Amino acid sequence: MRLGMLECLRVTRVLQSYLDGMVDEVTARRVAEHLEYCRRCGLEAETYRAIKTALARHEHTPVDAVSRLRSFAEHLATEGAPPGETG
Amino acid sequence: MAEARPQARTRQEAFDTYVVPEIEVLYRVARSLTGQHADAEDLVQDTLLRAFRSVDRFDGQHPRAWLLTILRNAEHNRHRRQRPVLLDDPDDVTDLAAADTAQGPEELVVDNAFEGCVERAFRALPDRYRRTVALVDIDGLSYADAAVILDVPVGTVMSRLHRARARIRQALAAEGVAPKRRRA
Repeated sequence: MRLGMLECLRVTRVLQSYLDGMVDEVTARRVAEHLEYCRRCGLEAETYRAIKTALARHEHTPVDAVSRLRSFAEHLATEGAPPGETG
Repeated sequence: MAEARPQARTRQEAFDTYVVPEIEVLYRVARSLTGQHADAEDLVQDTLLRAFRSVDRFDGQHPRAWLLTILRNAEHNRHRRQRPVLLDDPDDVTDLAAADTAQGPEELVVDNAFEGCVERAFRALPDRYRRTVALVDIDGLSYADAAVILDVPVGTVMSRLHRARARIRQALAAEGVAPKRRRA
């Protein structure tokens, strides 16, 4: 097996963790360097980034639901919890 | 000794310091867990109530993980009340090879077709995979926080996430949306 292919395999194994920012600094640097010069892995990384971006756009949090919950929290903090089962 | 957040003196202060800043994250997570806006709102209200009652006993460490644990327990209680618990399948490993990168991408075009395909593939994921992807990629939780809410080890979050995204990647290739090697 060629050295380059071995490196591609290693990068493939950690690529998603790298994109999630979940690898250590040394690994991150090595992967980043590899992605710079290996077009195939670089584009694979771009594909996974695009998947993550598309998913992140998936749904926006409705502002009204969050503001209702904030009001509920404010009411709790000022009025206290209603009697009921304990958490 | 330095604390990440200021020490709260009263229950109200503790609630404002540790709980209120997390409301939006809690809502997003609840939305992913329940699949319904109305259910998500009920679940977060329940969580806020439980958090308010116990915040005076909370030590101030990792408020998000603490709140996610409360939310998870509240969700379990709701399930117990509403419907019988379905056993989650053990994680299968049949699609571990999904991240095959043998094909060399030549170019990547992100357009409506790409986004539509990601959406369909996401919807088609097995429940446990879809939830994990939703928590991390849509709701923005860390692996560790997703592990808390799913009540599984961090390694399981990671493997589900990677397999799920690899399935989406495969779906893109199958629909001809993902970049493919071009013959010269």
